[in-house]
Amino acid sequence: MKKSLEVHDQLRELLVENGASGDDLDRFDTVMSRRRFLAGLGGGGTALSLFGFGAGAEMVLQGLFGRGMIPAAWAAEAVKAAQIEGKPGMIVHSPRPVNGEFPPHLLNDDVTPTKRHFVRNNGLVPQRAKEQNPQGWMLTIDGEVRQPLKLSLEELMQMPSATYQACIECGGNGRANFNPPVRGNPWDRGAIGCSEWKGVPLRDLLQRAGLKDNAVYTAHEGEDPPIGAAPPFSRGIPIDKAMEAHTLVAYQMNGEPLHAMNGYPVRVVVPGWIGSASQKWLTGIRIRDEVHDSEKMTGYSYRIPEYPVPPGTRPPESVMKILTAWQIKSLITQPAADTKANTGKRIAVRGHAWAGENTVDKVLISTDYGVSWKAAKLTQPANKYAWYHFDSDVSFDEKGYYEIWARAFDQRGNAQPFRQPWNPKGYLGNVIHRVPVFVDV
Amino acid sequence: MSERRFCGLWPDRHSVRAAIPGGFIAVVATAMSILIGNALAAEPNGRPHKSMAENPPEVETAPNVEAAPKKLFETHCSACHSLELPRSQHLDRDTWRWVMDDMVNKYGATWITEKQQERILDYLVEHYGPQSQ
Ligand code: HEC
Repeated sequence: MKKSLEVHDQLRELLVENGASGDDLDRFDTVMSRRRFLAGLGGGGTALSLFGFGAGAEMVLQGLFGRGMIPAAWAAEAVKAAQIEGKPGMIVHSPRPVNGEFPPHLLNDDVTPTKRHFVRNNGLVPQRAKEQNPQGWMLTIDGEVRQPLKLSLEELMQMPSATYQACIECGGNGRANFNPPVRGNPWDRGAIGCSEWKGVPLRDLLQRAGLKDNAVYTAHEGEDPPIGAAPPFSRGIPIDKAMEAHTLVAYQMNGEPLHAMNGYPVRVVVPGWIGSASQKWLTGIRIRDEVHDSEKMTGYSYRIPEYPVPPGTRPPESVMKILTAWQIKSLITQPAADTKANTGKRIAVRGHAWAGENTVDKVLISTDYGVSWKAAKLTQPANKYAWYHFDSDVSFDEKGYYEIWARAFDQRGNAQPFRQPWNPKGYLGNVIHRVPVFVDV
Repeated sequence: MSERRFCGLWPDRHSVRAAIPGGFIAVVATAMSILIGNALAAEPNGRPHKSMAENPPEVETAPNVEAAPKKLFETHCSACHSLELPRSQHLDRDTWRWVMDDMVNKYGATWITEKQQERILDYLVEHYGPQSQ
């Protein structure tokens, strides 16, 4: 026992020297005590710990600790059955990095409560966010500007602010409905939220800094530690969208400081566009004189082919284009899937619709697999880029299995498809939502 | 404790070591060898294997270490993220190859040898293929 304590200390020292975060060290300690326990028991568990250690040692040797990496196998016990603080009921696709969504019936609120807003992380959660500690945080705006800015949180909050409801939706929301299956977090339909965000319009900041004539694109920087040797997560948007009135540098979500998982203390909110544009844990915006070319802007990341490709095929990188706005979509939030109902009884049908840069024209409901449709009542959004809400009701005369379908249309006549069009990484999935109901007499 | 204890566990060790300062290695090596010695001593059924601890197995003679594809998968693919990420997938061989290439080339899983990659791929295609549940 004494020996292994020494080992613990020595390895711990190494981790510290290599820049492991306090969080990593906590995990290390947890797992090491667990490991001693297992070693005492002997048998199967020991093998597993040993193996985990093997890969871990390689990483120590490669100096990869301090880049946010510690063997998750060590901590498997610690993160198992993950419940993410402040997000009760979240379906966690992955606890490290945290990725989770809520089932549609929990997204019924007009304005998504913070506890029901999905989480899509590419890297780890910054220590500052966990501690809700604004100390030392600064926002830098530089690049192709005449007067670079450096603002503290206080200074940012003193500027004139704007408050909007804004749809933020992961570009991969709907991926689970792709066939053949594609790689990535298997989002079903819940990687969307429409919360209320307060912050400084990005254009006010850009005007204050003075955009140069050659400004073309933004490049966002955050303080989330990357995983492994992945480069820091970064995406950007064209200057036109950055100058759009609803694009915010937000410091409040639903009237509170941002939740740790949703970007505390400050994030970008690019409403209507794929979520990765809305950089969390923001520390910098660099203005570029060319299209941003980070890892997540190039290759197959957050990009789709310029033209439809046969399902299951991967065209060359050269035909991939950067994802921007979402397209027409709707979500039935009531009734819940697999609801039991009785014949002749009225069932309320409710949900939301949204359309990226477009407006929602109508939402139709069907209970006979799309043979006949009726229009739902549509409520206008609180502001541009917020959710529309729809209400309708249905009833069934006979016992059996039924599905409630919703199909939204935008003002241009675009509508949700009946089958999911395919692309190699499963982006922009917007196939119509079908909710099963079981009807009894 | 000698550095010999690394032998057989990580076939990539030479290239890894070449890039790292010696003092650093020495500490890790010592720490690792103590730990591995302890762990091996209790394998495989709780009975101490003194001889193994003194003389760790080579790749070929250690089926539990190198041959079990499930173990390889669990070891290497949990190094950076939870296993839920790969376990939630249902991919064909080409796509798993694409994922693997990204893990190695873009994200730094360079220590996984080509041979290990092939074994892990076989395992993934068998258990997490397009038809898997
Ligand atoms: C060196 C670190 C590292 C190792 C080791 C690693 N991964 Fe990953 N993996 C990553 C990173 C980084 C991501 C991307 C996270 C993001 O951006 O969401 C990722 C994402 C994934 C994803 C989901 C998203 C995608 O890219 O399709 C899968 C599946 C995956 N890894 C499988 C594996 C498998 C299988 C192995 C073992 C052969 C493995 N990983 C080992 C770093 C690693």
